[in-house]
Amino acid sequence: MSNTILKAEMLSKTYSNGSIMQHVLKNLNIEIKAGDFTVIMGSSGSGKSTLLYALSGMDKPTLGTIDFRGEVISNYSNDQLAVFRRKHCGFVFQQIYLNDTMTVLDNIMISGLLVSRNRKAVAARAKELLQQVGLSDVSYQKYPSQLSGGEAQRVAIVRALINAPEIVFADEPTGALNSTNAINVLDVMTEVNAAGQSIIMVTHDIKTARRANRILYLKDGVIIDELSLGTYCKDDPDRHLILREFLERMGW
Amino acid sequence: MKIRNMVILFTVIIVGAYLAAITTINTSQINQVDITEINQVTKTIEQDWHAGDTKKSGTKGELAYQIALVTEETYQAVLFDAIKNHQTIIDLTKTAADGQQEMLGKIIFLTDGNEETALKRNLIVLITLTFGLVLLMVYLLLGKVHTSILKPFGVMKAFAKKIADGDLEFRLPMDRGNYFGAFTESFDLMREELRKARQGEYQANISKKELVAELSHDIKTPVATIKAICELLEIKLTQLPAGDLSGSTATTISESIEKITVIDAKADIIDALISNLFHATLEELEMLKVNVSEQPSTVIVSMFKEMDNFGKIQFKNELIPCLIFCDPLRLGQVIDNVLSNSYKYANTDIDIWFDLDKTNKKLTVTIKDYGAGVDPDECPLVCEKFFRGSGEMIQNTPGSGLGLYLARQFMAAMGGSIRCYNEEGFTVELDIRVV
Repeated sequence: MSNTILKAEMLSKTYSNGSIMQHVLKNLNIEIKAGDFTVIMGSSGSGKSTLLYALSGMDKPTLGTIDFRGEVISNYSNDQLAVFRRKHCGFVFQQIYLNDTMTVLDNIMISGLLVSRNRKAVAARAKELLQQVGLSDVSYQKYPSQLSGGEAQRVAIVRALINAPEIVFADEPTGALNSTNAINVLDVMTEVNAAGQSIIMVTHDIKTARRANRILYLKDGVIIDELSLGTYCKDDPDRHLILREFLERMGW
Repeated sequence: MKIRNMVILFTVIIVGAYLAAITTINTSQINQVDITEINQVTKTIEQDWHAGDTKKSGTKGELAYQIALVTEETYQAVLFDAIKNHQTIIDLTKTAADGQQEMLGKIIFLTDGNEETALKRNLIVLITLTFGLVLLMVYLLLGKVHTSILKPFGVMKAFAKKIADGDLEFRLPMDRGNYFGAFTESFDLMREELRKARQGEYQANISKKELVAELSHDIKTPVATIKAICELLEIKLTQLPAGDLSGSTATTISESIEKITVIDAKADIIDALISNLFHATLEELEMLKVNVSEQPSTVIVSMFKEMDNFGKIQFKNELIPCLIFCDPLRLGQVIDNVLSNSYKYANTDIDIWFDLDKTNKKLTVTIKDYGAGVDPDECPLVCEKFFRGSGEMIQNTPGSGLGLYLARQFMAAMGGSIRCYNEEGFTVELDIRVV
């Protein structure tokens, strides 16, 4: 099982408020293989984001183990988790969280320099990635406020990729974008995935979900079913139908 | 809005409407005829007439007029019409040559006679509006009274019915805005107290039953001793060599044997009675409630640790943390019963294994001791009510034959099961359902 990068077993997350316990994740098992584009779907409150945060080491599970390439990260301390996230994970959120007082390039560099000391190499990689996501030289010195929502999200993706993470975690990355920008961002993510990048994404949107090759459906803190879609290719009407049919079966 | 405020508001509105009506009536008087002006106009018309201007209608100043001449045929008709319309009529005269006043006809001033009709209409509108307003306010007031007084009473009625039906969990919603806030609160307090009292009663009942069950069991042991001693004495006394004894001693002995037989028989009756009592209370104890919830499996480990009074419990493998279905209180009792059996009968080390079956969603806890185990013939019976092993050591140890029986009941209620078998010692396997 060498290509399994992330494996969670009997994962539970409980939020307690006094004597009331809310089990958000219940004995959940999940395995992520390298190069997968996994999408987690489910209705509101089903535990999608909680699962994403637990898997990415942003939050600790109450019970269960998370195994990342043989390291059990569920026992890590907060400091260890921070180092782990920095090295191995990239994050893309619905809110873009770029620093408004820094240029696009600096925004990316600051993430890169947390891991590598080689300023030149980081800058070179940042530029290469920016080009890859279709941002021109001109935009490097721009400030986030001068970018469109889609451009800013693409910068955020570059920032997520700068340290060559094993997995990119995305929580509704297109949630705040208009449809044209959303498609741009998704195209970038699809390309990056095609180049071998593993992605785990939480979304509500069927158009976003159909980019994935694996759909997990979460209900009441348990993965009740999953759908294997194969690699994304454009203009495949069946793909949309299969996904829609699957979601309808799940009670979407 | 408070009813007092409503009453004040309504009074203000009514007084306002009343004042408005009075003002309207006062200001809309019928225009009075200005006598001087009419005289002046008449004079002018007469002069004009003299001068030969015999126009039959026209306007002078603000007054429109019409002249009806005596010579005309329609004279009477016009005149009556004017009278009907409340118009002002003045004679049109001419001074003849002989100084005599000669009547030419009448000047009719075309004042507006419809003013009264208008006034009447205005009054009707005003009265309709006022009555409508009053009616509306009465409805509002009634509505307010209904929602703030009658409805809460309705709720309270429903509440009282629920209480009467014994549903003490039904809360009386409290509304600070209504007049019965404090009243309702005391009702709810009453319910709360009733509920507590009933709960206390229930608890007391349960503990009384448990006490009876325990006591009856405790009584059984000394009774058994009495019976054993009776039998022993009887045997000893009957085996005394008859020849060694004098006559009186022999009689005493035979009397003693008789008495001992009576004691033995009575002890049997006591035993039977206690058994009956025990059965009766136990039937009711079976209604012990099990509240299953989702719990982290780590509670099991802490249950064992709490029970590990002698340091004999060893965990042979790690428990994989997961969520299980259980009632922590009852599961604790099950473990408690199993462990205390082991302490009582085996008194060896206790080893614990955990085995999580992910596909069947089952967590198996194996509790094993290294004692003598149970008689293989009796093994299938250990979970039966009141069953106790027949071995001498078991019979001499106090116990009710209930521990494993209750354990089985509780496990079943939690959706799990219990299995007991001999393997090097006595082994109990608990299957617990995983979420």
